[in-house]
Amino acid sequence: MSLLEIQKLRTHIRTAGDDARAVDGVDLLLEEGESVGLVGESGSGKTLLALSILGLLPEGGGAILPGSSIRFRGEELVGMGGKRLREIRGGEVAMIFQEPMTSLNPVFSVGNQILEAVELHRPLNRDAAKEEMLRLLGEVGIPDPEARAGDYPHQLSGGMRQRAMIAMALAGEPSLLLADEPTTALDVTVEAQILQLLKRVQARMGMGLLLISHDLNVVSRVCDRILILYGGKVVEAGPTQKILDAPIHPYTRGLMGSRLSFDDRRRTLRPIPGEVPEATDWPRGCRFHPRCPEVMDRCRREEPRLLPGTERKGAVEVQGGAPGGGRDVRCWLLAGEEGGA
Amino acid sequence: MGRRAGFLLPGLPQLLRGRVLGGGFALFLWLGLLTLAVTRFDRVRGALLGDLDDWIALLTLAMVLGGVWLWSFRAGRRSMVTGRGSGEGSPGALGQGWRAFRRNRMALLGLGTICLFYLAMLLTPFLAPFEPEFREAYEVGGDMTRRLAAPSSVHLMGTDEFSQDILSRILYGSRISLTIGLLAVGISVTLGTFLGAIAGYWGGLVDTAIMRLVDMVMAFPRLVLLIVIVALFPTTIFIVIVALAFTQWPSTARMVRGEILALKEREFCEAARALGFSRGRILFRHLLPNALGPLIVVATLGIGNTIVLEAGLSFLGLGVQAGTPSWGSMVSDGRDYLMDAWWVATFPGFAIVLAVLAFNLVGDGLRDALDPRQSEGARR
Repeated sequence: MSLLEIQKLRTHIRTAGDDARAVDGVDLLLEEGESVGLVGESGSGKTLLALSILGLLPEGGGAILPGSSIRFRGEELVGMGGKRLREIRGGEVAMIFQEPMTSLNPVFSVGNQILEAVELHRPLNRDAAKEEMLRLLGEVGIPDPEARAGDYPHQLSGGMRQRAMIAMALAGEPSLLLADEPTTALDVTVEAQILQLLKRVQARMGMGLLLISHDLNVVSRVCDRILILYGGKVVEAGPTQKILDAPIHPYTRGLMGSRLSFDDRRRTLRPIPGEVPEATDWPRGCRFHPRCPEVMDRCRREEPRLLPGTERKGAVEVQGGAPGGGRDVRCWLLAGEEGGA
Repeated sequence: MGRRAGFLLPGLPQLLRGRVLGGGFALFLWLGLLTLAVTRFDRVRGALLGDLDDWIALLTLAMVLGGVWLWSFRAGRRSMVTGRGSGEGSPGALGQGWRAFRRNRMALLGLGTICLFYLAMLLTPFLAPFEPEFREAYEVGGDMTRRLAAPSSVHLMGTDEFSQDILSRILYGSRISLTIGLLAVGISVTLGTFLGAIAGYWGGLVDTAIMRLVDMVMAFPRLVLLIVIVALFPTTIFIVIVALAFTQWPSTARMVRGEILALKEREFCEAARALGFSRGRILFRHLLPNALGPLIVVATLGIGNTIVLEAGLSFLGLGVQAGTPSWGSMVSDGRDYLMDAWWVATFPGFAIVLAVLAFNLVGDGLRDALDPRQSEGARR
């Protein structure tokens, strides 16, 4: 039994016109203790996917379609509600958010907020919970926990706030942590520290980690496996190193080309032209084809399926890879202009 | 030195340290009360055998005398030890607000006035020179000279048509006016906050139902609605309070709903949901405290407003029963004699104005301190 098993997840957002198909049939497998990265531009559906897992979709705005399945240790989360869902939220599955500036309640001290989470999810008495709160503050690298516990969010720096958020998420000793752009609002040096912290606590607690980011660099530093999301669908998935070494999908290659590199400063940035289309109006065929540098006729007609692929050498070879261990790509380059599949 | 001064006279350590306002107020309050206790010692001693009002007054006197002394002594010692004034320990939203409020002289003046008003209300048995129903002239063989007597050393604010001492009646009347203001606002703010919060957070049908009810109540002019309610039931203080609260809650509900609507979109609300907190807990423990600032402002301003309305009802003869002293009814009684005996209506009217002004000053000061978005001179 996997820690998290998402099958055919489709999450739509109701708009005035057509529904926005923000997450449109995503499969994702996350084993115990594994860390998986979810990468994509704004509008690729990655945040909505994370919110779908905990049933946190905006009220009246988003809905998970029937046929979708999200299993946490075999337990179906889609359609779950009430007490059991609240136990899972923050207890077994915790989440941290992008904006540490606004994710903490401004009128309570950080110690208080962490304490509340501890008391909700752990069977500890007041004193023990307080001790646990201080331990958590130390665990996430906040110096002098006793003094900082009484601080209010506005007295802490962005990095410290995100550390406090992580402490809150860890309060319930979760076995899965969803991190939605945890470092996007932070500057680069702090980002590195927070990523290190995430990696450390993940290893120490044996947590599964789903790290969501628009930044391939960030994800590659922490995660074992990466899923590239475009237009609400997974376009490429595989072990981190393999994807970094040899990206197959033109979109992945575009992401690689548009990232900053410290090692090779002379390399020019090659941004991906165009922008993500509206989720209410995906293009026919492959959703990436209007922006794809290697677009073929077939891409405009038919939508490619997610197929196991191997390294790209000039032309792409198709090979039946081992499930889970190998990599999957959603691109007609794998099949050629006419080929099967 | 400061410590010994605090031991001798409350307020002195603060004054020596240059905190004229706090120290001066403490000194003035303490000396004033001490003078009262000494000059009216017979009355104070008699209170031991008196009724509940007497006991409340006695307790208030003792507690304020002791409290001011203790505060001054301890604050003086603390500032000696840490080298800082008091009240700098809490950096929370309300702690910050208090520091901003302290810088506002007018608001502090209002707060001091309110404190004095309520203190006077509680100490009425000791302060009032006469009983409210005491009709001196009638007792002395029908001599009418005390009727509508001008202010003098015996009757500081004169007497009314029944030879009753106006100062005493204002003091006894403050019980009605000030208590009704406080109670009615307490009820309406509680009710309005509860309903407004639920409407804003749950949305949908609940929201629609509550807000249409709000619209219905607000569709009528408040005074008209008040008159109807009071006229429908036998006039008791209880009914007046309920009527005032019933016509007040919709505006609070509307304000709280707006605050909650904005707050529930904030990320910390989503974060709280992700941590598995229940909806009720998120609403009342996490969101509502964030709306506390504007709520306090609305409540404070509401008390002043309610005092005026109650006075208006009493003026129209719809408030408390005739004969019971209340500021509004006293103004009403005095309006026939305005040309001959101005003091009958003027002094109670002055009390109303002063109380309302004080509440409004405090309310404005609180708004500047706690709710900077709404104040004109927004600092942030």
